[in-house]
Amino acid sequence: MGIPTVAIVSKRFAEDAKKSAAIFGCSSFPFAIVPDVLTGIGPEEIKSQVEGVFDLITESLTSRSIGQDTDTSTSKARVQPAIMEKFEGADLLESFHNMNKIFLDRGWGDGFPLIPPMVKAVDQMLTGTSRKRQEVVAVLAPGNGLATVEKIAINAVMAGCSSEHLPILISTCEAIAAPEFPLRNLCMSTSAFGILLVVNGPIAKKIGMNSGQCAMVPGAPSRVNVAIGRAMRLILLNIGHAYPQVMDMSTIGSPRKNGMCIAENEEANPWEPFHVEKGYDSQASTVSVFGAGSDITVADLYSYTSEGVLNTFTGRFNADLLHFLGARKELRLVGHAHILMSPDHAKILAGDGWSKETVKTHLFENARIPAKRFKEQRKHNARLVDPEWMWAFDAADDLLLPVVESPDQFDIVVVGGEAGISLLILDICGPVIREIK
Amino acid sequence: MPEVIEVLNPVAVAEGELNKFSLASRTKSLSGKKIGLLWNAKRGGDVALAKVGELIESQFGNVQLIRIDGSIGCKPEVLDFAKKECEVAIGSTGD
Repeated sequence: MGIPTVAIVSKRFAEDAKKSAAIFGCSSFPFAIVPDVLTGIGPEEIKSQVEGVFDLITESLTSRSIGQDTDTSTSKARVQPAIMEKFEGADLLESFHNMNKIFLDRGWGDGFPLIPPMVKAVDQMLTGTSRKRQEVVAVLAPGNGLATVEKIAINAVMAGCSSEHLPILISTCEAIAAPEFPLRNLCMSTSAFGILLVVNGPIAKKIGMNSGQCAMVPGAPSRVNVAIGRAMRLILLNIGHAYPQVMDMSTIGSPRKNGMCIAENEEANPWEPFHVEKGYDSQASTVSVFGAGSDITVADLYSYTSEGVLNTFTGRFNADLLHFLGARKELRLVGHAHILMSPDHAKILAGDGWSKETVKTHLFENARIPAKRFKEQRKHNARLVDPEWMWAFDAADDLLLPVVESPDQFDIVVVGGEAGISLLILDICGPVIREIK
Repeated sequence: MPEVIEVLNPVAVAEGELNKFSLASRTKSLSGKKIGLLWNAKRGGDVALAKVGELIESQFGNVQLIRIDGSIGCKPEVLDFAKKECEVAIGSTGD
């Protein structure tokens, strides 16, 4: 920052903090390490632990020895070609296992066996794009890793992708690196955010993506979806450096983090496709990225009318979204509800004359929660509430509040097979969309 | 005869590895200083900073404490404010 600074951090998050300092080029940044994570202990214990490191805090701001060992040398070449690694075994199978063991020991995998990124395979992968091998496509948080076309291709090989998937991965890297997409928060949070990819346009069918039954997973019908989603997980690890227990500090974790990739079911969608709604030509191919903090099944196999379906959806919105309602603007956390709507639900709604816009407006006006919940949930962190929303603390307990601040904070994507089962995904940001070229 | 497989390293270089910078020179004493207490909005961090401020005031007396409410992923303007208004800063994440 240009002024002497020190930060208080818990022992559990110390490695994360040091790694974060290093990726910002300041590896000798001083920390005052307290024993416990502060969010998990009470005020008196926090004060006691701070007293224990107070001398270290003052010393970190005043000692001349702090920062004297900083290495400020820089590499002249911003990007180097990937180096080669060799793995030996009695036979190829043993070599394969040795490579996998060492890659996983280094944290370079998702726990499943990795396809060896041999030069021939990577070269083959690179035939999927005309972009230059060492071109930096994006800088990916949280580690600020330089996503070159080559590194994306290496991770794509490891995930089991083919060359025709590469353009989607490149565009996805561009999308998640967009300033409006909170990639750092999503990757480093103690919550368990995944990143959902939604592919639209002709490319989905061309490469065999599944937009119907079991589109999200599991299994063979979704093999392309699975491979692309997995590749993005490996890219977040090895390019974004979002390594679990180092920079990914999710408390429990979630299978959402393993990869979420679907194609919109445009054929069964009674409305305009998602990318057309966002201003793209129907013949353009796009990838939209969404954060995915939690998911809630919306099951309604019994309603034949839009009123019934909408009532079911309305009842599924819970206080999770209230966590972000009225949050201070500078927090940049905006509650969003991504609705993965089954074709059956969409068909009933459209059949009764509902558009996506009127559905969103209806949900905004009817998915409401008593102010009592807001007050209970936010009283402990009222400093995070925007001044414009402070009135809600004085509102009557039974006053109904919306779960989000605008109908635009609902997104609708039609996906899946027949049956009235939809999925509601709660998130802290809106989607970012990029054309696949 | 052992079998060898050759693979390419999948890990990207980080910007921070290429652009390193040194820490700001430390101050001689906190006495008389404008001290920023920068919170990232996570629970508990504010309590920790309030206690640090209390201890600094009791030990150094003539300091000016400036409470700065940031966010997870602090906006540049918040950091610019801290840099402009404070002579030293203490941060807390809650984690």
